[in-house]
Amino acid sequence: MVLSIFLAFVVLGIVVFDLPASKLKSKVSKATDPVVNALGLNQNWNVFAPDPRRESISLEARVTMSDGSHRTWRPYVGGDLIGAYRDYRWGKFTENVRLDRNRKLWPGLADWVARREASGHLAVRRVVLIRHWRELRPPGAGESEGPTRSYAFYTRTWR
Amino acid sequence: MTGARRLWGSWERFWFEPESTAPLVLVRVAFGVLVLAWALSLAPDLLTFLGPHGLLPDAPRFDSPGLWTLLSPLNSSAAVIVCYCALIAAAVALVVGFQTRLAALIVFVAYTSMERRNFYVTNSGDELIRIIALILFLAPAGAAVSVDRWRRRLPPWTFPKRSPWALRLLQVQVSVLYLSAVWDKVRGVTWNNGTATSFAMRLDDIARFQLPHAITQSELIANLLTYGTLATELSIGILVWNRRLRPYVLLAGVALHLSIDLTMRIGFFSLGVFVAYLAFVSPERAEWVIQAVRGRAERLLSARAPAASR
Repeated sequence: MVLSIFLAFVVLGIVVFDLPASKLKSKVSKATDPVVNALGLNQNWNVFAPDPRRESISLEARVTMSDGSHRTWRPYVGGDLIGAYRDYRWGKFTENVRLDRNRKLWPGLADWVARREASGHLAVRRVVLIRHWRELRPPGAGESEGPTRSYAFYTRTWR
Repeated sequence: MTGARRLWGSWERFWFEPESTAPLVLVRVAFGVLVLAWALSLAPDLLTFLGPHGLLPDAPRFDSPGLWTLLSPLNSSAAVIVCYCALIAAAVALVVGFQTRLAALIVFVAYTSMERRNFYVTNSGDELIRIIALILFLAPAGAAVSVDRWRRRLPPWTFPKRSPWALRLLQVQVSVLYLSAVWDKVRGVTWNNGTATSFAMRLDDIARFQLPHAITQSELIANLLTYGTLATELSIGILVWNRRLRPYVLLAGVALHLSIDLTMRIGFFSLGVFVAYLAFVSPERAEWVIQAVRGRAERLLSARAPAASR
């Protein structure tokens, strides 16, 4: 009987967790979410939903070294066969870090790039994070994609 | 009253009527291998993603109640490495069924801690792995074909019957996954006008083996693939509970996920789904598969033994 109650509660918790925002969800999830989260059952299945992204994106960091030279860092991209099982994490990071609502990630990324690029006597003076995107046109349209656009969204400098 | 009793009887049969643990063996072994692959793919970026000197120096602060990760109070490179090594060791133990319950618990705790330490690098596939880890911890996953059984001097290649409630939970999870995915999609514009897959297939940053322009840009093909995806997901969510139709809808699911996996860089999502599908393999079929693998392995070993003795 105890196990039945546990199972009913867990199934209810999972279903409520997956419901779209509503009054019902907000009421019930107050009771179920702490348990669902603690059990590791929190979930999100909105892959390409409600709509897939309509732009291809990429990220780069332009690094200025203490001697005035420049370097460019880009997230890791692996081979199509095995590398894809590693670089999807870099893809997710790129997807998240470019968003203004995730601006708290920017200093950490700039610092990490600076530590990575610093070598021997050469220190890093400046890191500029740049996002690039290309709009995808609807299928059947003459041009498949729009032009590539870029925006420097964060700069960090060191003396 | 009779109706309520009948309902209660159905509930009891569904969750608790003992059945062969063979399907659980398939899930356990496949899941252990999957976790090992997941961990190996993370190795080059382990401290970059999860360490205090990586991309996310501060441990996450969760705004939802109940979320936890050991790597929040233990935000150090040493803790990440210990967690990682524990995950690898426990995944190996899970594959062979050594201290299975403890191994599953370690996999769940270590994996969840790592996955939640930096959720900016995870996707739905990583979430699915976490969920299967919990379910395997709850299940009698070492009851058959395991070192645990062999150590208790019980015949390892037999399949004792156990209450299948944990396996049922995994089955329910698969169904909920697809119904939720369809629900999320039909609220969008491009899933309704039939162009969603065209956009998804043209995202350069997640493209794997790229399809020809003629396919990704064709409106007709986009319509077929978009509505086909919705139909497949909806049918798995509902018809997987029909014994007769189950193999067909799961086969359609395999085709759908293989095509996604081949064309897009989505990590372990499809592989995680395939492991979850194993929960639907019938006990008879699972036993047949395991015995066939055993027979093959024994033939291979006996063929090598005389050669070695010569």
